[in-house]
Amino acid sequence: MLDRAAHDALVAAVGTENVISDPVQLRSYECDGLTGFRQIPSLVVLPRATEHVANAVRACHRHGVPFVARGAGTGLSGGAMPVADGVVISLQRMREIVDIDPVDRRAVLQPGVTNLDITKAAAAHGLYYAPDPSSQQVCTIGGNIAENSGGAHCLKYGFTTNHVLSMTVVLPDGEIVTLGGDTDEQLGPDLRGVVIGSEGTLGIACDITVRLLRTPETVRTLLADFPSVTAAGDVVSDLVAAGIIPAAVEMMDNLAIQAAEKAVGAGYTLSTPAALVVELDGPESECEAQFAEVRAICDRHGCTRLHIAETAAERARIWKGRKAAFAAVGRISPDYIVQDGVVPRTRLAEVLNRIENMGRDAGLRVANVFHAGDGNLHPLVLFDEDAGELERAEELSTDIAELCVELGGSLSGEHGIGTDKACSMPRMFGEADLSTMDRVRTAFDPQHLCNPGKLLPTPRLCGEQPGRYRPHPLEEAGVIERL
Amino acid sequence: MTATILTPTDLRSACEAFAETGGTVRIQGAGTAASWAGTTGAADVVVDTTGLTGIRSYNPADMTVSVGAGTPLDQLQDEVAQHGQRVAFDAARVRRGATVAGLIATADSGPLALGYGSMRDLVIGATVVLADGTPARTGGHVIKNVAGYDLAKLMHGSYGAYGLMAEVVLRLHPAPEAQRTVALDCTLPEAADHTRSLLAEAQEPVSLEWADGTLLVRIEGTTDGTTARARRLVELTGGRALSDDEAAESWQRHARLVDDATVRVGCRPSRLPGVLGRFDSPAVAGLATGVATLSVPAAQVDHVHDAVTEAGGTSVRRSASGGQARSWGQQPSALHVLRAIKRELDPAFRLDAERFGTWLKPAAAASAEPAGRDTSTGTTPSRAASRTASPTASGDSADETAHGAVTPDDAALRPVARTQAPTDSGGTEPAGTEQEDS
Repeated sequence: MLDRAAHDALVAAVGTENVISDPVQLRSYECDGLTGFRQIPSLVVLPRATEHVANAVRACHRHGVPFVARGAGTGLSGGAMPVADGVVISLQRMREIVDIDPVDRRAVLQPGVTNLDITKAAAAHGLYYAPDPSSQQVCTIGGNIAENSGGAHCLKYGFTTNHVLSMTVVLPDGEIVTLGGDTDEQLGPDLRGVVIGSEGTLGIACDITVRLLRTPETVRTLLADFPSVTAAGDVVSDLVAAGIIPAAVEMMDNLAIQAAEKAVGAGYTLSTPAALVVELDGPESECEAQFAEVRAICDRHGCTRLHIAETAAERARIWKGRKAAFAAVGRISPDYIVQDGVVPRTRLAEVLNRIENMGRDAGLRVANVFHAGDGNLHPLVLFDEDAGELERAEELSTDIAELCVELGGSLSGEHGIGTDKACSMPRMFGEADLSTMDRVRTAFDPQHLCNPGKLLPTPRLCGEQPGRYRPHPLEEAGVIERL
Repeated sequence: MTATILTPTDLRSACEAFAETGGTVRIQGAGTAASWAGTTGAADVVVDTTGLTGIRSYNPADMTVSVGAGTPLDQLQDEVAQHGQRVAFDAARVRRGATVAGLIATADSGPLALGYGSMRDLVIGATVVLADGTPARTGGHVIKNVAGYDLAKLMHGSYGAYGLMAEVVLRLHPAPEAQRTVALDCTLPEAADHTRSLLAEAQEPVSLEWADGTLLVRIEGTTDGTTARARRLVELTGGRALSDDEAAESWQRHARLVDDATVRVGCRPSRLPGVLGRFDSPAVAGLATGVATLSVPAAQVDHVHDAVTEAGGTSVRRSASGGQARSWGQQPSALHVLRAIKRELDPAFRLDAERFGTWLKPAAAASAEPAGRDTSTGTTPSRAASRTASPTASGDSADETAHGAVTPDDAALRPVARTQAPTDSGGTEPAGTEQEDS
């Protein structure tokens, strides 16, 4: 519980009408999209202006109260999970699109604006906002900044960090600063880039200026079935070798296809072992030539069915299936865990084989949906909690993420570390790496009040691991040296 | 006392260069940006990054490459070009031998930034050595990766004040099948008008630059596709599609103009013509990115800073000639965070940060000096100390003007000749004033 003085200071910071303290209402803030981790906050404040956010953070700072910023709560790593005896600062009431500037091609936004609404507002000018996470209808630009969100099209267009020009940030002591500027030119080190993707641990982004891009002249989308996941993977390799950077290349295995088809009827082939969605965009003259090349490459690898979207509606249908795949898995399994890991693209086939074996050993099914172009996997571990499979499923899921690291990849491509993977961080980074990150965190937040317990492992969270020296897995792999 | 010059060749010796020495340290690379953002302070140890060269790992199919941070980017380009790939980055000084880390440390960018961004957008991982010799890794070898803080961003634009980059992992792009440039001789305001109509079409230029009297629009793609688009650009602008040789010459001229600039400017694209128009000097303007360079006489540098600041933009001096002119226009808003990071990563303040004037200094010391001013001109005591400490201290005037000339003892440590920049003095400069890289 908050003490009286802290409570009053927070209420004064944002006004009574912008505070939630009713226990029933507080419950709806107990978790984000990773529902396995829950914690009811002591208080939720819903500021309506940047100054309110700063007031609230200053109150927390003065009274030593930990706080967690929250956008739409769609995060999948527990990054917005509240902290015991802490406050949630929800940005949901700051939803104004402040400005769309078609001349300098940028938008100024409050943090609670949803990702898709940016593009909707810019569309009238023939512009759009490029990063498009699957949750784009509800996720907010503030949350996108916290997680450095990508999306299906980030292979070609990059991530949130490549599209945010500047933002005012309320630092953990309540100071309001501006990071970034009107262009990519910098005044000293790029703090904007450090804060983007810091999972809400270094401050709260408020007034955000993003770059808008010209809507591409042409978009071509195809759906291709393959006799095996390996064949589909070979197509991706050949695309790269041909110098083609598709706007998106998504792969689904049979389980994922079945689930998606049951859910939305996107026209996928129920029996195919694997399918690719390939999308090209750009000037028409370029796009058509490359599209022909993509079709030839698909044919070369034994494509069993090739469906080209002829209309915008057909294209939307193909994507609907892909974007609904996570939730759709609920139709073929009572419970599931969404994993997020990255491997170098050339190791896709290897990692899929290993995942299959690991699933078999654990007696669990794993569906695979992934951004094949950048090696970002989303294995879905299917289980039945009522049958007592939860623990085994969580273990398998963690093992898969750590396998990605072992293969030279990353623990997370887009969902973040949050609460979920903090304890796996030592698999990917050595002690010195993590302590350097912690030093940076301390520079921003000496009192460790800003989203504490997330991103970096803590003894409380992960348990001490004493004992004699054992070589770090990365040392054994020759990635790092002990100096 | 003479500054010790250390030229590590791998991560271990890079760590030792810090762990086994004491006193202040300056990091230097190829010296191609020696005069940017003012001058540097005295140092007991100079760590030369130009021995940290070569590809560490490269699997073309993954389109990522890991390199020693002191590798000249043009050398790396040659290597990856053999596999039909490139680092999509073309700052002017790359052709003068700038190193990968130097380009990152100075937050430099070139005309391709419109299409591909700057180094900050291409670096996917790094190994940084901190002032106490601790090696810290960030990012990784995959394009998509959100695990942990992105410390490479902290290095971008840090001018070596936070640490030394020993190894960098870069994202690569396929080399385009064809490039075409359309050129139009016109004034800056005319170029700005053309830019608006060009960007309203989906022709996707990767570069759009006004180079002192000529608008250059570059597109990339397939041979047929670029030919068709170039035709459309000609229709739109009334310009002319250049032959490959003409295009190369035009971009060379662009790079020379950038090399000769005295100030680098960033401001909202729509405000750029107004700001640049106030100065009757050669200019290069990225009309879609808002990034420009100006070759004003020394006495006008501060006026540029003022004009740009008034327009809400950023500016930095790029030439040593400028005497008392400020190094930076605006100062950053998060000074106390920049200082706190310095304190955390380099508590003993070993790494030179003179280019930032007072920005990174502890608040008490900083308040004693005018904010944002370059305090490291030849008249300050610390500067004098640097000259006494330097083995080639005679070249006082040279160090303010030379563009990365190499001292004899310095050269002996370097296997690669790196700099073909014209030097005003033709003389040598003290080794200690030549760095910019980290």
